[in-house]
Amino acid sequence: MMLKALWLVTTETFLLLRRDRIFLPVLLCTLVIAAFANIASDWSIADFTKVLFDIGFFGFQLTGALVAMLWGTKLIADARRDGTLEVQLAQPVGRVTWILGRFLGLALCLLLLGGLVLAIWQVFMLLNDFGRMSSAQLVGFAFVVLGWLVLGALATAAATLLKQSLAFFCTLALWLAGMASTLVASTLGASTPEITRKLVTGLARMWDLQQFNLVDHTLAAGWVALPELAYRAAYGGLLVLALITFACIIFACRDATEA
Amino acid sequence: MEAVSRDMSEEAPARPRDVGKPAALELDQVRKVYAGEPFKKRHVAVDGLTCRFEAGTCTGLLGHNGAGKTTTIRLILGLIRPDSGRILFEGALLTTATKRFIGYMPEVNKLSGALTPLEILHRTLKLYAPEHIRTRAQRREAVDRKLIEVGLDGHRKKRVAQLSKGMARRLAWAQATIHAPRLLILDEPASGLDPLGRRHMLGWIEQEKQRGAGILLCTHELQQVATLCDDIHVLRRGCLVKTQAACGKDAAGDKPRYGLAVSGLDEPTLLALAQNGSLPEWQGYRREGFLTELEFAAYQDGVRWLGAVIARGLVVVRFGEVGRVREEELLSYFEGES
Repeated sequence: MMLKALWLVTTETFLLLRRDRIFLPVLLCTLVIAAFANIASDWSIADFTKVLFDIGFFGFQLTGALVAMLWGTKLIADARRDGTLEVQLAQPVGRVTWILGRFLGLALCLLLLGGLVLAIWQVFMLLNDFGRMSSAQLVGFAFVVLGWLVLGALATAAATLLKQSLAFFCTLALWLAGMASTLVASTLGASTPEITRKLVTGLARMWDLQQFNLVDHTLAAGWVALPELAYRAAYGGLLVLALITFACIIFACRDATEA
Repeated sequence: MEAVSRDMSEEAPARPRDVGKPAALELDQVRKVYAGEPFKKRHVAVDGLTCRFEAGTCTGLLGHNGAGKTTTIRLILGLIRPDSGRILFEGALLTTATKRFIGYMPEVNKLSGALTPLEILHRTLKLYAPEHIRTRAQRREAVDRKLIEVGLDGHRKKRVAQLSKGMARRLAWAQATIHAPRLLILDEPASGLDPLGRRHMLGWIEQEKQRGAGILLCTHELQQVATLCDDIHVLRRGCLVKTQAACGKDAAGDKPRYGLAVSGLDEPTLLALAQNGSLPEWQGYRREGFLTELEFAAYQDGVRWLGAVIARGLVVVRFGEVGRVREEELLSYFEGES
């Protein structure tokens, strides 16, 4: 019964997001990014491939991250605002099932989006006579999508606790913090107290979203070692799990209509 | 208005059908306090609410704005949790699993605008999985039948956002009842409907009642209460202040009563007729201006009085089953609160 309910909430969420008015504009946006990367790399005096991948991957990372944050917060806030949450929870659907279903639907839609973006990118690769994408590039792309999923989970967790706008800005701030965390940690000088250094380094390690950006390794001759790759993937999965567990606990404990 | 009708007791006595049988829904000392935002006072929305909603009857949940009706419905649906007390469905604690026997129609359209009626009804049936609808073919047939019944057959593939308000209400009704629930929770079911739509809606509610579903009707339309409800619960500031049989059924015998409204029947004439000896006693008497209303336990008693007053040349304004709770009586519960 619970699995059936979970499946139905997941498929419904997927359907809602696929029909969301920003789905097609996002695809269009990625198309523009890919085209822009292509043009910029043509004009560039630097390495053609590096410019193409740097701009392309950064653009995809940014677009997907923004969409994941927007959808993650919107899914719950909209359900609260337009009352669909009331109708759905009046049905034999538990709160935890509902939140899980919402996130899984979001994850499915982000995977679909990732697949479509990948297809667009592949077309541009073929146009530039690069042929089919290498497995390293595909893994790099998979990690970009994993980063989206982490942000989707973060946004979902924030939305169970806060109103939509606040949840979105908190997620945005945490995303920026995650992108800059290792950079900030590396700037600590020798005069920094040991305790501060440990704290900042620990936090930077815990919330390092740059680890899902493998674009440099994608192009470099030396690919990330397999254990390191497995560690990063597992850590991403763990982050998603932790954030969704947090969302489930919060959503189960509070009044469902409360934000 | 002088009233010598039956006594309106604060607590309606249990009827024979209630004894030993669990109610469709029972709230037992349910209390809900909203903590409110920081620096704001705590607000007691529902305070020790105890009431029953019987199977096969329509029970009105009434009260002024802010009386606690919406909170009560949200508590029943599990959207918010009670601070104390229990909510029982057919004698057992209401859980997510037992919600499959409940249907809910909210006050306004709260269905996903991006979905179609076809998708919504199919999904509902898959989720509730009622005993009589198991296979895909049965599901398809049930959805088709429901869409035809509510007049949405031609709009099955339109998105909900494209439906008119009335259509969305009919879809909400279809969604709430397609799985033949044992308990139906209706929040202002006729709001936003045109007169014909309202008539259809009232007919559908009556059909559900005939089917044996318990109905919790939350409405501000007192005429609907008077027409549909068998019982009413009146809330005031989160407390139950009145429980009463709303229909014209005798509290002990479950029998209907009959009323005869006559214009120009003054007291001397009435007494003269009563002293005649051949006419039966009335059960209730009201007089307002020129209008006198008599109530009888038996239909034949009413008919005999009807013949007598016609023979006297008096004008009969109304004769038939009465005892439905009167609007003005219901209004008295709201005085000073709204």
